[in-house]
Amino acid sequence: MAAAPAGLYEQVLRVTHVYLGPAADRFIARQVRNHLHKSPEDITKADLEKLIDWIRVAVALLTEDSEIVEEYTQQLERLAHHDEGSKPI
Amino acid sequence: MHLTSRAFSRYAGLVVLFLIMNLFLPVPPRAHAFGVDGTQYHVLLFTVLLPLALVWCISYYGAITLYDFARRMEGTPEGHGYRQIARGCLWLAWGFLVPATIRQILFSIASGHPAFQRTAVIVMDYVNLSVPLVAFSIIGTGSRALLEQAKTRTTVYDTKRVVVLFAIIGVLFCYYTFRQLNLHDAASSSNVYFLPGWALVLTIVIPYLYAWFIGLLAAFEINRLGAHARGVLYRRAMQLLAGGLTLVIATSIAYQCILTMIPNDGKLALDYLLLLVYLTEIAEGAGFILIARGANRLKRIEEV
Repeated sequence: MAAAPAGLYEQVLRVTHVYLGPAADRFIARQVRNHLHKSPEDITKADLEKLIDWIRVAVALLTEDSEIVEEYTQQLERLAHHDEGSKPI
Repeated sequence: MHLTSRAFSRYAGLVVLFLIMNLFLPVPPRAHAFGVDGTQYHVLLFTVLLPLALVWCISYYGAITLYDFARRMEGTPEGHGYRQIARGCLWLAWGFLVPATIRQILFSIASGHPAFQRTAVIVMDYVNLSVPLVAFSIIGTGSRALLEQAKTRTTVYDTKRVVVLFAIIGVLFCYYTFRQLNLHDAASSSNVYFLPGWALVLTIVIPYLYAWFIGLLAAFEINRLGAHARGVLYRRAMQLLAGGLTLVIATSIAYQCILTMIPNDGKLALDYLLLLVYLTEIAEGAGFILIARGANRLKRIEEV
């Protein structure tokens, strides 16, 4: 399994912060613990696809604006498909 | 049973008891002078109080919803701020029912014992004062805590607006209040407040002005929080909450101004005063609805 790029959790948080502000860290921690059953800092690229699916469902419960949901999940998917060794997003 | 449902049921029950209590209060002698018998008086009183009672229930629902959200935020950096604001809102919501109950009881006693009228008016003035004094102080503490936690501050422009608004409200309030006094004899209590001028100024006017300044400042701080909250979805929820709190504070100040500038001697007002009371309380109820919506959205963000 690919090792987590340095700061993947921080990158996910940074993207989430744009949409959920101060609640971002609690939101991501909840999704990772409840659905991936691991510590948020331990998420890997392999976990990201599953995490994005759960985030898509959760955010859809928070807003009826599908554009925001799509925009948010697309930003996360860019993280998932970002090549190793490249500069972080 | 959920905290919100339990607490709301208790409050609604007390409101119903308040309405029932009014059906058994003695009819003031002056009612008969208008050809109104006991039953008619009680029906009239019930009709006047029922819309207000509904607004009080809505307001309490908003306050307890915010309190429920604040409880869930315990242990988070924003927890203390939200809790203080929620406590202040609860104080405002109880500030409808409790003073109204005390007022009805005191003035019922006064209608049968005219010598008690003076005591009733004085007690009600201080009971009414306690609501904004405590509520706005607590809300102000909460808004300041949230502002500091968000590393935001009010601007010089905001401060100037607060001062100008406060000056306008303060001058109008003082003008309409001091009109009721005999300014040539500051020690005389022969006025509608039954207090000497100096006591009225020191113990009623100044505390109200302090409370309203704190309230206005809190409203501006909360608005700043709503406008500059980070996160698209979080900001939308915060703006609902901020809008509701601002409306509640503003209409609460207006309501207190009306209560003090137009001294109420316990009579059932069926004129423009009642209309003003309805308008301000309905607007305050609308503010609490916005608070409930904002709090629910923020709660959902913390739950999903």
